[in-house]
Amino acid sequence: MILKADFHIHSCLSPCASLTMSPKKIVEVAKDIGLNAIAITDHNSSKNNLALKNLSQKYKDFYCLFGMELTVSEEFHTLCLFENFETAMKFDEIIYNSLPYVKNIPEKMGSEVIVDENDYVVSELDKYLGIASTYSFETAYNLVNSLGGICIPSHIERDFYGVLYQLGYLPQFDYVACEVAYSSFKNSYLKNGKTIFKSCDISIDKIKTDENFISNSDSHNPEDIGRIYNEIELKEFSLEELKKAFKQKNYEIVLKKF
Amino acid sequence: MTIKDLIDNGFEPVLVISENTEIKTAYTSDLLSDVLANGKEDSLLITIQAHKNTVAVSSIVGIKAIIICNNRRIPDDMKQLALNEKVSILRTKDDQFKTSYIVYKLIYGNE
Repeated sequence: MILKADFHIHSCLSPCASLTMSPKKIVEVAKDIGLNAIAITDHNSSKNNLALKNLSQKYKDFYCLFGMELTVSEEFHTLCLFENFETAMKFDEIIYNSLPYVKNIPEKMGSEVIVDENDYVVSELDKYLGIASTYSFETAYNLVNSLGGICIPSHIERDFYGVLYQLGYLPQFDYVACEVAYSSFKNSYLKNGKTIFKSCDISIDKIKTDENFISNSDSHNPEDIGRIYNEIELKEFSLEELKKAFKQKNYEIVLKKF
Repeated sequence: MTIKDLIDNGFEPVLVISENTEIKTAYTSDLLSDVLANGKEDSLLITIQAHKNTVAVSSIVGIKAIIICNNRRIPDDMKQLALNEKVSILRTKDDQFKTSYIVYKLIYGNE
């Protein structure tokens, strides 16, 4: 099967995302533009994944992963993705409890809204999510893996909250994949993860490893969903098969033509 | 010390809300969670983190001005948010070490 996957989408739970980004809207737009696999990855929270789970069950051949975009204590972002919803929520609880308490002031920092699959507001979060958790990358990486999930460092070359910018190097782990930001791709069409450095205007020469680079939309608005996605060839949808497909480079990064 | 004192001492005014803003103390850090935990009200932040999240954190803490070191480029969305949040931005070619020394002298003299 061919998966058209955008695994980095923010919902209205992220303080920096548009309020129109309800799980319902995200799934509708994703289906509309032909994606068949998504993940809702809010900053340090998975609490809008219940709506995603309920929505995805309505559709045949529409798949999702559950998780979040974690801010590790070194202050860079990493996607933490799980196949199992309950596991994702267990991880969510661990992370939410670890966040230092800063009260969210919606007028100032943005709203953090939990909604159900019909766009009804369930609640608003009291804690500000745009803050670093107390988990270091290594601790988080090991925790996610022990729970059966995967860590994909986000927009590694970006000059805010990208691992290369924050640390100056990519910590050596057995990554399933690393994410390169959409902004590095928008002027070029790239065939696979290996050729990207020739065409993008950023310098990632610090990476000498043979990482598998993917890209996602990192959308905060409906119109950005799927602006870049991964076309992945795999036997059936499962995290195990996805891992294999990334490792064997059975995928292409596709930039959506507007 | 006021923002005007900083400008008079060679700091480039990128976005100044008011030259008369009084700065009581300063904090040097490149980790925003650290600024959130240890930053002081009515202070100045010395950092190389030139993006809008620095403004957001400053606004939460009550920091009145940010000095961006090493002449880092300051993106437009950072300036826009700073305008909304009434946080001044200055810039210098110096690094955080030297900037801290200059600012310390301006605030506390030679004590």
